[in-house]
Amino acid sequence: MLELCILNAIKGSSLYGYDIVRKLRDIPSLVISEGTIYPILSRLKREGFVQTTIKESSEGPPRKYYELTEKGDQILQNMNVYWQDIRSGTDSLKGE
Amino acid sequence: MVIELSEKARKTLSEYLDQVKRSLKGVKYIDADEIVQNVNEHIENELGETPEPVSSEKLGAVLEKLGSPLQWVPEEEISWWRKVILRIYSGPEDWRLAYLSFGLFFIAFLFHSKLSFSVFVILVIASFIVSRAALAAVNGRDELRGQKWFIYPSLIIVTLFFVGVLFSIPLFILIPIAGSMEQTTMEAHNIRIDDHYLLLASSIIGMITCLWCMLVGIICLIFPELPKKLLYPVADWFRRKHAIVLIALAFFVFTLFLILWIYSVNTYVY
Repeated sequence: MLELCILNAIKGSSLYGYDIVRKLRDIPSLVISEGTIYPILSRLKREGFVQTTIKESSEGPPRKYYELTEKGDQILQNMNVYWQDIRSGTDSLKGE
Repeated sequence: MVIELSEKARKTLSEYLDQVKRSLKGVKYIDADEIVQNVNEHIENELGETPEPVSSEKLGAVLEKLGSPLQWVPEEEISWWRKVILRIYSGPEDWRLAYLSFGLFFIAFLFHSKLSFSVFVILVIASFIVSRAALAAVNGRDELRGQKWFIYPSLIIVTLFFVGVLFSIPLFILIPIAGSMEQTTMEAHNIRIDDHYLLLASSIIGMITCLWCMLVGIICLIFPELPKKLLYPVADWFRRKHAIVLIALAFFVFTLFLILWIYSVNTYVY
């Protein structure tokens, strides 16, 4: 679930780790320890779903930006389809 | 860290980052150093606008939102033995030390019949040192809560031993001297060694020991903080009045030995 949120957050852009946390923080029903996100990013990187690039920052030292790899983009599509199926199934149970 | 932290906040952050490293160490798919860097950057971003030096309260609020590093890795991905190690390693230092202290003390006494005396002594002293370290890691022993009972056994035993040795120093020196003098006196004067000599020697040794105790009492009277610091936390109750009691008691016993000495001298049979 959290992996899905993270991958969707960085889809189509390259984001700084802290920006990802801020994006997820804005989802009201997603109650997590913010620190949890960093190990997941590390794992996604190890598994080749995201990659990092170091960019200079005007606010301080160079920052590490995360972006989806092709493999990551592919898995995200599959996950989104799967998530959509679950949502549709749940909605149908509710009679919508 | 680009932002300036207060002394207390720096210590808190250092402990937190140590906990992060320990919690993530050995988890194959995670680069612990990378996470530490991420956490540092996260804190810098969160506290960038805060007036410096940043207080431990402000930092604490950020760390609270980051959560305990123990919860960052799903439990099923950690082996049971690693969970045990993590629990010990990432717990507060004070209670870890308290348990370690009791563990060493327990081993020493459980196996005292199988261990050599020197190993037993080393274990008890090690337990004592760890107990003192546990006390040093907190602001006061009350912070240890229930764990304080784990550190007391070795603290009390070593302290009692130390106090016993301190008051007995004259005995360690004088008894062997008296023994050798007994032989010398007997040979030089061809005299009979009987209970009178023992009485005479005991009374002299007793008087000197009492004088030594009075001296210790006077030192404690002048420097009442000295026993508190040396015997911390066992002698927290010590006040000047206790030093006066010690001096008075030593003086009283000294008087008894003096009477005994006068009696011995007057009734000595050559």
